[in-house]
Amino acid sequence: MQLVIDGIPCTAESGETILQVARRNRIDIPTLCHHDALEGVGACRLCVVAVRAHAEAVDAQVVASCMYAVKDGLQVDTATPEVRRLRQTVLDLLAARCPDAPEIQALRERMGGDAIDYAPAVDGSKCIMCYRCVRACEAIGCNAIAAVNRGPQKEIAPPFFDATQRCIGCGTCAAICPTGHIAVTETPQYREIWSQRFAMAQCAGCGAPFMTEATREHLAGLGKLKPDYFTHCAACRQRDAAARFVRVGT
Amino acid sequence: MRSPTPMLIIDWRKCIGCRTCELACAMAKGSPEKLGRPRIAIHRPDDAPIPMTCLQCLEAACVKICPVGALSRHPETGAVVLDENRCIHCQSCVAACPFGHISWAEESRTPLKCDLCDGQPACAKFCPTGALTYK
Repeated sequence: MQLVIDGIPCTAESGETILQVARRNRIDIPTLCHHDALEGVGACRLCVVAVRAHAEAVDAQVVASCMYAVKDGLQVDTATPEVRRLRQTVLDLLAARCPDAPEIQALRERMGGDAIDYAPAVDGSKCIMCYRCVRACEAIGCNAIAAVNRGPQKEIAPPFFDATQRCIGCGTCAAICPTGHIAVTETPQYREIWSQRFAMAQCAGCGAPFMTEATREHLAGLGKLKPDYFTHCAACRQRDAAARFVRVGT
Repeated sequence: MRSPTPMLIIDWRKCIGCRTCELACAMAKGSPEKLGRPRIAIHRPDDAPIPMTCLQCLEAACVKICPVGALSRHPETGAVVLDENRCIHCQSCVAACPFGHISWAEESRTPLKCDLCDGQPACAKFCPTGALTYK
Protein backbone atom coordinates (compact mmCIF):
# COMPACT_ATOMS: atom_id res chain seq x y z
CA MET A 1 0.00 0.00 0.00
CA GLN A 2 0.99 3.63 -0.46
CA LEU A 3 1.05 6.47 2.03
CA VAL A 4 2.63 9.91 2.19
CA ILE A 5 4.83 11.02 5.10
CA ASP A 6 5.93 14.67 5.10
CA GLY A 7 5.23 14.84 1.38
CA ILE A 8 7.37 11.75 0.64
CA PRO A 9 5.50 8.86 -1.00
CA CYS A 10 6.23 5.63 0.93
CA THR A 11 5.42 1.99 0.27
CA ALA A 12 4.31 -0.10 3.24
CA GLU A 13 3.09 -3.58 4.11
CA SER A 14 -0.19 -4.14 5.89
CA GLY A 15 0.33 -4.32 9.65
CA GLU A 16 3.31 -1.97 9.74
CA THR A 17 3.22 1.10 11.95
CA ILE A 18 3.76 4.68 10.78
CA LEU A 19 6.98 4.77 12.82
CA GLN A 20 8.38 1.68 11.07
CA VAL A 21 7.65 3.11 7.62
CA ALA A 22 8.99 6.55 8.55
CA ARG A 23 12.26 5.15 9.94
CA ARG A 24 12.77 2.99 6.86
CA ASN A 25 12.44 6.13 4.76
CA ARG A 26 14.87 8.00 7.02
CA ILE A 27 12.20 10.31 8.39
CA ASP A 28 13.08 11.13 11.97
CA ILE A 29 10.44 10.80 14.69
CA PRO A 30 11.66 11.10 18.31
CA THR A 31 10.87 8.16 20.62
CA LEU A 32 11.65 7.08 24.15
CA CYS A 33 9.65 3.93 24.83
CA HIS A 34 10.00 2.38 21.37
CA HIS A 35 12.23 -0.67 20.93
CA ASP A 36 12.48 -2.59 17.68
CA ALA A 37 12.09 -5.98 19.34
CA LEU A 38 9.32 -5.12 21.77
CA GLU A 39 5.66 -4.58 21.08
CA GLY A 40 4.64 -0.91 21.04
CA VAL A 41 2.78 0.39 24.08
CA GLY A 42 2.46 4.08 23.24
CA ALA A 43 3.68 5.02 26.69
CA CYS A 44 5.87 8.08 26.10
CA ARG A 45 3.73 9.87 23.45
CA LEU A 46 6.83 11.53 21.98
CA CYS A 47 6.24 9.90 18.60
CA VAL A 48 2.90 11.62 17.98
CA VAL A 49 2.15 12.61 14.37
CA ALA A 50 -0.81 14.17 12.56
CA VAL A 51 -2.71 11.91 10.16
CA ARG A 52 -5.36 12.55 7.54
CA ALA A 53 -7.31 9.73 5.85
CA HIS A 54 -6.54 10.96 2.31
CA ALA A 55 -4.95 13.89 0.45
CA GLU A 56 -8.15 15.95 0.30
CA ALA A 57 -9.11 15.41 3.94
CA VAL A 58 -9.02 18.57 6.05
CA ASP A 59 -9.41 17.14 9.55
CA ALA A 60 -6.19 15.86 11.07
CA GLN A 61 -6.03 13.48 13.99
CA VAL A 62 -3.03 13.16 16.29
CA VAL A 63 -1.93 9.58 16.89
CA ALA A 64 1.04 7.72 18.39
CA SER A 65 3.04 6.62 15.34
CA CYS A 66 4.50 3.58 17.15
CA MET A 67 1.02 2.08 17.54
CA TYR A 68 -0.90 3.32 14.50
CA ALA A 69 -1.11 0.75 11.70
CA VAL A 70 -0.72 2.23 8.24
CA LYS A 71 -3.68 2.50 5.85
CA ASP A 72 -3.65 2.99 2.12
CA GLY A 73 -3.63 6.66 1.10
CA LEU A 74 -2.81 7.90 4.61
CA GLN A 75 -1.30 11.40 4.79
CA VAL A 76 1.14 11.79 7.69
CA ASP A 77 2.78 14.98 8.95
CA THR A 78 5.49 14.46 11.55
CA ALA A 79 6.16 18.09 12.45
CA THR A 80 3.06 20.29 12.29
CA PRO A 81 2.95 23.13 14.87
CA GLU A 82 0.40 21.13 16.88
CA VAL A 83 2.55 17.99 16.85
CA ARG A 84 5.59 20.00 17.93
CA ARG A 85 3.63 21.64 20.74
CA LEU A 86 2.31 18.30 22.01
CA ARG A 87 5.76 16.72 21.95
CA GLN A 88 7.18 19.72 23.76
CA THR A 89 4.58 19.41 26.52
CA VAL A 90 5.33 15.71 26.90
CA LEU A 91 9.04 16.41 27.10
CA ASP A 92 8.57 19.23 29.63
CA LEU A 93 6.50 16.93 31.85
CA LEU A 94 9.11 14.19 31.59
CA ALA A 95 11.81 16.73 32.44
CA ALA A 96 9.83 17.81 35.49
CA ARG A 97 9.53 14.21 36.61
CA CYS A 98 13.17 13.22 36.20
CA PRO A 99 15.43 16.03 35.01
CA ASP A 100 18.58 14.01 35.70
CA ALA A 101 17.81 11.26 33.21
CA PRO A 102 20.43 11.55 30.45
CA GLU A 103 17.92 10.56 27.75
CA ILE A 104 15.67 13.43 28.75
CA GLN A 105 18.54 15.88 28.82
CA ALA A 106 19.65 14.79 25.33
CA LEU A 107 16.13 15.19 23.97
CA ARG A 108 15.81 18.65 25.53
CA GLU A 109 19.05 19.64 23.85
CA ARG A 110 17.76 18.34 20.53
CA MET A 111 14.14 19.46 20.67
CA GLY A 112 14.35 22.45 22.98
CA GLY A 113 12.12 22.79 26.00
CA ASP A 114 10.87 25.21 28.61
CA ALA A 115 13.54 27.29 30.31
CA ILE A 116 12.84 25.81 33.74
CA ASP A 117 15.78 24.30 35.57
CA TYR A 118 13.93 21.48 37.27
CA ALA A 119 14.97 20.25 40.69
CA PRO A 120 15.89 16.57 40.83
CA ALA A 121 13.07 14.21 41.70
CA VAL A 122 12.47 14.07 45.46
CA ASP A 123 12.57 10.29 45.50
CA GLY A 124 15.62 10.24 43.19
CA SER A 125 13.57 8.43 40.55
CA LYS A 126 14.84 8.40 36.99
CA CYS A 127 11.97 6.24 35.72
CA ILE A 128 10.17 7.68 32.70
CA MET A 129 7.52 4.91 32.57
CA CYS A 130 8.62 3.69 29.16
CA TYR A 131 7.86 0.03 30.08
CA ARG A 132 10.94 -1.21 28.24
CA CYS A 133 11.96 -3.22 31.32
CA VAL A 134 8.48 -4.70 31.70
CA ARG A 135 8.30 -5.70 28.04
CA ALA A 136 11.86 -7.09 27.98
CA CYS A 137 11.08 -9.18 31.07
CA GLU A 138 8.00 -10.48 29.29
CA ALA A 139 10.06 -11.29 26.15
CA ILE A 140 12.45 -13.35 28.28
CA GLY A 141 9.45 -15.20 29.65
CA CYS A 142 9.63 -14.14 33.28
CA ASN A 143 6.96 -11.42 33.70
CA ALA A 144 8.46 -10.50 37.06
CA ILE A 145 7.76 -6.76 37.01
CA ALA A 146 4.81 -4.52 36.16
CA ALA A 147 3.42 -1.07 36.87
CA VAL A 148 1.87 -0.71 40.31
CA ASN A 149 -0.32 2.10 41.66
CA ARG A 150 -1.81 4.93 39.61
CA GLY A 151 -1.05 8.55 38.80
CA PRO A 152 2.03 10.16 40.33
CA GLN A 153 2.48 7.11 42.58
CA LYS A 154 2.79 4.77 39.64
CA GLU A 155 6.04 2.82 39.55
CA ILE A 156 7.55 -0.36 38.16
CA ALA A 157 8.06 -3.11 40.70
CA PRO A 158 7.76 -6.85 41.34
CA PRO A 159 4.43 -7.98 42.87
CA PHE A 160 3.86 -6.38 46.31
CA PHE A 161 7.38 -4.89 46.13
CA ASP A 162 8.53 -8.25 47.39
CA ALA A 163 10.91 -11.01 46.42
CA THR A 164 9.46 -13.14 43.66
CA GLN A 165 10.36 -16.50 42.18
CA ARG A 166 9.54 -15.16 38.74
CA CYS A 167 12.60 -12.90 38.79
CA ILE A 168 15.83 -14.64 37.81
CA GLY A 169 18.10 -11.66 38.44
CA CYS A 170 19.31 -11.64 34.84
CA GLY A 171 19.63 -7.85 34.86
CA THR A 172 18.08 -7.34 31.42
CA CYS A 173 15.63 -4.77 32.82
CA ALA A 174 18.53 -2.69 34.12
CA ALA A 175 20.50 -3.06 30.89
CA ILE A 176 17.59 -1.99 28.69
CA CYS A 177 16.50 0.90 30.94
CA PRO A 178 17.28 4.07 28.98
CA THR A 179 17.85 6.19 32.08
CA GLY A 180 19.73 3.88 34.44
CA HIS A 181 16.91 3.89 36.97
CA ILE A 182 17.08 0.23 37.98
CA ALA A 183 19.74 -0.36 40.60
CA VAL A 184 21.97 -3.42 40.47
CA THR A 185 24.57 -4.31 43.10
CA GLU A 186 27.01 -7.00 42.25
CA THR A 187 29.65 -8.86 44.21
CA PRO A 188 31.43 -12.11 43.24
CA GLN A 189 28.94 -13.97 45.44
CA TYR A 190 25.61 -12.35 44.69
CA ARG A 191 23.69 -9.85 42.57
CA GLU A 192 21.02 -7.68 44.14
CA ILE A 193 18.22 -6.23 42.04
CA TRP A 194 14.63 -5.21 42.94
CA SER A 195 15.68 -5.68 46.61
CA GLN A 196 16.16 -9.37 45.98
CA ARG A 197 19.46 -11.19 46.32
CA PHE A 198 20.55 -13.80 43.76
CA ALA A 199 23.46 -16.23 44.19
CA MET A 200 25.96 -16.08 41.33
CA ALA A 201 26.84 -19.24 39.44
CA GLN A 202 30.57 -19.93 39.37
CA CYS A 203 32.27 -21.09 36.18
CA ALA A 204 33.24 -24.76 36.48
CA GLY A 205 36.55 -23.90 34.84
CA CYS A 206 37.93 -20.72 36.35
CA GLY A 207 35.50 -20.15 39.23
CA ALA A 208 34.54 -16.66 38.05
CA PRO A 209 30.91 -15.62 38.62
CA PHE A 210 29.26 -15.37 35.20
CA MET A 211 25.48 -15.30 35.71
CA THR A 212 22.99 -15.85 38.48
CA GLU A 213 22.08 -19.42 39.41
CA ALA A 214 18.45 -18.60 38.64
CA THR A 215 19.35 -17.34 35.14
CA ARG A 216 21.28 -20.54 34.49
CA GLU A 217 18.30 -22.63 35.56
CA HIS A 218 16.04 -20.52 33.39
CA LEU A 219 18.21 -20.89 30.26
CA ALA A 220 18.70 -24.62 30.80
CA GLY A 221 14.98 -25.04 31.49
CA LEU A 222 14.01 -23.52 28.14
CA GLY A 223 14.86 -26.86 26.58
CA LYS A 224 16.33 -25.21 23.51
CA LEU A 225 19.86 -26.33 24.34
CA LYS A 226 21.32 -29.06 26.49
CA PRO A 227 21.55 -28.07 30.19
CA ASP A 228 25.30 -28.77 30.21
CA TYR A 229 25.79 -25.79 27.90
CA PHE A 230 25.63 -23.48 30.86
CA THR A 231 28.43 -24.66 33.14
CA HIS A 232 31.41 -22.59 31.96
CA CYS A 233 31.99 -18.90 31.29
CA ALA A 234 32.53 -17.78 27.68
CA ALA A 235 36.31 -17.38 28.09
CA CYS A 236 36.73 -20.92 29.45
CA ARG A 237 34.48 -22.37 26.73
CA GLN A 238 36.63 -20.75 24.05
CA ARG A 239 39.84 -22.01 25.67
CA ASP A 240 38.43 -25.55 25.95
CA ALA A 241 37.15 -25.45 22.37
CA ALA A 242 40.64 -24.47 21.11
CA ALA A 243 42.14 -27.50 22.89
CA ARG A 244 39.42 -29.74 21.40
CA PHE A 245 40.06 -28.47 17.87
CA VAL A 246 43.79 -29.16 18.18
CA ARG A 247 43.08 -32.71 19.39
CA VAL A 248 40.67 -33.33 16.51
CA GLY A 249 43.19 -31.99 13.99
CA THR A 250 46.18 -34.08 15.13
CA MET B 1 26.89 -30.15 3.59
CA ARG B 2 28.78 -27.37 1.85
CA SER B 3 27.65 -23.93 2.91
CA PRO B 4 25.92 -21.96 0.13
CA THR B 5 27.86 -18.83 1.15
CA PRO B 6 31.64 -18.31 1.51
CA MET B 7 33.17 -19.43 4.80
CA LEU B 8 35.98 -18.21 7.00
CA ILE B 9 38.24 -21.25 7.06
CA ILE B 10 40.66 -21.68 9.93
CA ASP B 11 43.65 -23.90 9.12
CA TRP B 12 45.38 -23.75 12.48
CA ARG B 13 48.41 -25.73 11.26
CA LYS B 14 49.41 -22.67 9.24
CA CYS B 15 49.03 -20.30 12.19
CA ILE B 16 52.28 -18.84 13.49
CA GLY B 17 50.63 -16.98 16.37
CA CYS B 18 51.59 -13.49 15.12
CA ARG B 19 48.23 -12.08 16.25
CA THR B 20 47.92 -9.95 13.12
CA CYS B 21 44.30 -11.17 12.86
CA GLU B 22 43.50 -9.80 16.32
CA LEU B 23 44.94 -6.42 15.38
CA ALA B 24 43.22 -6.35 11.97
CA CYS B 25 39.92 -7.16 13.68
CA ALA B 26 40.44 -4.51 16.35
CA MET B 27 41.11 -1.95 13.62
CA ALA B 28 38.15 -3.07 11.50
CA LYS B 29 35.84 -2.92 14.52
CA GLY B 30 37.21 0.33 15.94
CA SER B 31 37.46 3.91 14.82
CA PRO B 32 40.52 5.87 13.62
CA GLU B 33 40.86 7.18 17.20
CA LYS B 34 40.33 3.97 19.13
CA LEU B 35 40.84 0.27 18.48
CA GLY B 36 37.76 -1.91 18.84
CA ARG B 37 37.53 -5.13 20.83
CA PRO B 38 38.73 -7.98 18.57
CA ARG B 39 36.26 -10.77 17.79
CA ILE B 40 39.09 -13.21 17.15
CA ALA B 41 41.66 -14.50 19.64
CA ILE B 42 44.76 -16.66 19.41
CA HIS B 43 44.71 -19.46 21.97
CA ARG B 44 47.67 -21.67 22.79
CA PRO B 45 46.59 -25.06 24.09
CA ASP B 46 49.72 -27.28 24.25
CA ASP B 47 51.63 -24.22 22.98
CA ALA B 48 50.27 -24.54 19.42
CA PRO B 49 48.68 -21.23 18.35
CA ILE B 50 45.08 -21.53 17.14
CA PRO B 51 42.87 -18.65 16.02
CA MET B 52 39.40 -18.83 17.53
CA THR B 53 36.43 -16.91 16.22
CA CYS B 54 32.75 -17.42 15.44
CA LEU B 55 32.13 -20.37 13.15
CA GLN B 56 28.76 -19.03 11.92
CA CYS B 57 27.13 -22.39 12.83
CA LEU B 58 24.37 -23.47 10.46
CA GLU B 59 22.25 -24.41 13.46
CA ALA B 60 23.47 -21.75 15.82
CA ALA B 61 22.84 -21.96 19.56
CA CYS B 62 22.89 -18.16 19.83
CA VAL B 63 20.13 -17.82 17.23
CA LYS B 64 18.09 -20.51 18.99
CA ILE B 65 18.31 -18.96 22.43
CA CYS B 66 17.78 -15.27 21.52
CA PRO B 67 14.29 -14.43 22.86
CA VAL B 68 13.64 -11.58 20.43
CA GLY B 69 15.13 -12.77 17.12
CA ALA B 70 17.93 -10.19 17.20
CA LEU B 71 20.41 -12.68 15.71
CA SER B 72 19.86 -13.89 12.17
CA ARG B 73 21.81 -15.15 9.19
CA HIS B 74 22.89 -12.58 6.63
CA PRO B 75 21.65 -13.89 3.26
CA GLU B 76 24.78 -12.92 1.31
CA THR B 77 27.69 -13.35 3.71
CA GLY B 78 26.23 -16.28 5.63
CA ALA B 79 27.30 -14.62 8.87
CA VAL B 80 25.12 -14.73 11.95
CA VAL B 81 24.64 -11.02 12.55
CA LEU B 82 23.21 -9.02 15.43
CA ASP B 83 20.53 -6.40 14.89
CA GLU B 84 21.58 -4.00 17.65
CA ASN B 85 18.22 -2.23 17.54
CA ARG B 86 16.47 -5.49 18.41
CA CYS B 87 18.90 -6.63 21.12
CA ILE B 88 17.47 -6.43 24.64
CA HIS B 89 20.88 -7.02 26.30
CA CYS B 90 19.89 -10.25 28.08
CA GLN B 91 23.25 -11.97 27.38
CA SER B 92 21.55 -15.29 26.57
CA CYS B 93 23.68 -15.60 23.41
CA VAL B 94 26.87 -15.06 25.41
CA ALA B 95 25.80 -17.92 27.68
CA ALA B 96 24.63 -20.16 24.84
CA CYS B 97 27.58 -20.27 22.41
CA PRO B 98 29.19 -23.68 23.01
CA PHE B 99 32.54 -22.30 21.82
CA GLY B 100 32.49 -19.08 23.83
CA HIS B 101 32.76 -16.97 20.71
CA ILE B 102 30.38 -14.23 21.85
CA SER B 103 31.75 -11.83 24.42
CA TRP B 104 30.02 -9.04 26.27
CA ALA B 105 30.91 -5.34 26.03
CA GLU B 106 29.80 -3.85 29.33
CA GLU B 107 30.33 -0.26 28.17
CA SER B 108 27.94 -0.54 25.21
CA ARG B 109 25.85 -3.36 26.78
CA THR B 110 26.07 -5.37 23.57
CA PRO B 111 27.25 -8.84 22.66
CA LEU B 112 30.32 -8.87 20.42
CA LYS B 113 30.62 -11.43 17.68
CA CYS B 114 32.28 -11.84 14.30
CA ASP B 115 30.08 -10.64 11.43
CA LEU B 116 32.60 -11.51 8.72
CA CYS B 117 33.04 -7.74 8.15
CA ASP B 118 30.09 -7.74 5.72
CA GLY B 119 31.85 -10.23 3.46
CA GLN B 120 35.36 -8.72 3.66
CA PRO B 121 36.86 -10.25 6.82
CA ALA B 122 39.88 -8.17 7.81
CA CYS B 123 41.52 -11.08 9.65
CA ALA B 124 41.67 -13.22 6.51
CA LYS B 125 42.85 -10.28 4.42
CA PHE B 126 45.83 -9.64 6.69
CA CYS B 127 46.74 -13.20 7.74
CA PRO B 128 50.29 -13.60 6.36
CA THR B 129 50.32 -17.40 6.19
CA GLY B 130 46.88 -18.37 4.91
CA ALA B 131 45.78 -19.83 8.25
CA LEU B 132 42.65 -17.74 7.80
CA THR B 133 41.00 -17.69 4.40
CA TYR B 134 37.56 -16.62 3.26
CA LYS B 135 36.27 -18.54 0.28
